[in-house]
Amino acid sequence: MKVTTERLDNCQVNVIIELDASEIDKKLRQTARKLARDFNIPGYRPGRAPYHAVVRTFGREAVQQQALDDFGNELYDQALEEIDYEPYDMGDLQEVEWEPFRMTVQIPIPPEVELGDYRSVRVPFEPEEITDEAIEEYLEDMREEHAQWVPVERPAQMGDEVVLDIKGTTGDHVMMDNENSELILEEGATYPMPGLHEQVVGMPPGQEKVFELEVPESDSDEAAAGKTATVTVHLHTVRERDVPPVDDELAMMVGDYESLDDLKASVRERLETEALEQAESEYLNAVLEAMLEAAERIEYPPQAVDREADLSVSQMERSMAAQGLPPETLWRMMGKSRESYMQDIRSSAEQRLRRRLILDEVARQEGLEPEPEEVDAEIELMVEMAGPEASQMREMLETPQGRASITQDLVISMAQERVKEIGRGEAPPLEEKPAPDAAVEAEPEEPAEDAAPEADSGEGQEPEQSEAGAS
Amino acid sequence: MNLYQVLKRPVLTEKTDFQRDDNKYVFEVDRKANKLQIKEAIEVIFDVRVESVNTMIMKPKRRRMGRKLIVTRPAWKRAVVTLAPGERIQEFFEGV
Repeated sequence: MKVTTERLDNCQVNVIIELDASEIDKKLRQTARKLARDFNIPGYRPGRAPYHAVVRTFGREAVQQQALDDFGNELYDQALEEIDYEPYDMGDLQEVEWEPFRMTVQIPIPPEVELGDYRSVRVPFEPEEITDEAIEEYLEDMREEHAQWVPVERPAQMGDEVVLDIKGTTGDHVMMDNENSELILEEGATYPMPGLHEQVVGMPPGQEKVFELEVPESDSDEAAAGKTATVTVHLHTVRERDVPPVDDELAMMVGDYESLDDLKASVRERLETEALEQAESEYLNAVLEAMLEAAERIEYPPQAVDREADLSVSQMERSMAAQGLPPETLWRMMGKSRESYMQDIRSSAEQRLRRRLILDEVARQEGLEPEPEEVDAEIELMVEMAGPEASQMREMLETPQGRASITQDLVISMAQERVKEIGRGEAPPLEEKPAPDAAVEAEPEEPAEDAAPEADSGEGQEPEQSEAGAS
Repeated sequence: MNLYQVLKRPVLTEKTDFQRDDNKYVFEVDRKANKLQIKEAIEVIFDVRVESVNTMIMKPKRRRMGRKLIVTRPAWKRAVVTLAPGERIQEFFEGV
């Protein structure tokens, strides 16, 4: 058997398997023997038909096809042993020639990333400044939230809340008869009837008023639609919206604050933390984008994008399923199939993939590796978080795959930190690396392997980590 | 009878595979064909020299379908043709 490879674009490799005439003849004869056993060939006892009789009965092509089914995978596996590439996904049979035998299989190989001078990438870090206006705005919202409706003894105005009885009739037909219904008076409101709100304005509490209103043609009450209704309104209560002033009292009302200044300080702190978190996450992406720009080469097979898209779709399905929405229903609600949705998110999946590849490569270049104790600590943390399922969780995580997946998550978050440090120019100098060859040999398979365990086990406990790494 | 109506089909079975090792080729032939006609047909059609021809009438086989219905295929004539040493017929008999 002779195996040659041919490098194509997009991380694809053509693996060409060639066999001598004698080798392929042997395979064909083996197949023919099997066919003779399994099928009745007229004139021969089962299993006794010679090669030529089998070929005569089924045709040469059929025997060849059968031989390919029987031996194709075996040949492919053997060929994979011989080549220098690690397949990233399933190969795709391109073509087969029989005389001489030559089989071409296209396989995707793991993504390849050359970062270039990633260490000199610098991006300014600018968290948003928290202005006094922002705090004022926040307090204003808070004030609105704590507003109350207070009964007043004055005629109703727009914006008031009123309690009233409404009775509407057209001739003998009673179209509505509601007691004690609550309304917030608004300009141009159409419920319960257009013009009703305007009529109520100016009425003092306790008053009763009779007036006529046109019922619109489109009204769902067909007996009344288009007619003139006589409406009787009895107004019980008028309430006014009482918004508390921004003062120490509000501070004490919304929480455990001593004074308004106390509250303001706390609001500032909260907003600042939020802004910082937001900025950190945006910053990470900005630096990653800059590194993508700086990268000399980043090449990946289309299958990697598919895998990334599939991963995020599965994650979505799982999280919806956790909320009691099975995938079939989800897709019906979205009005599209899983496949078409995957197509839709392909470009964002591709972006995530590119960033993750950079992260992986940075982790490799920088030799980032969590200490076993750190992994232990992470496991403890997740077990604690699992609450009632703690023992199950521990069982799952203590397996080699569980550890690998956690290690992978940790490596990613370490890489994220490192990327941000590099962007700020705060990264520690690189330590002396071990033999670079060894690193190159050992690591490239990692990205291919990490996707699967991450999807199975690592997810759910720490989604923000894998997502932050990806998005 | 036309020369080309004599031979009907080659008989390809385990047994005839072995007979071929003795340079004997087996055909189903027309029931009324005689040995001379068979010899001539083989020589003309396959361009080989024939040493001898043996023939036999094959008894029809009976097969019962269900309890009563008996089906018989018609009887047929089989010819075993021995070729002169060194002659071969490629068609039908050897790998396609």
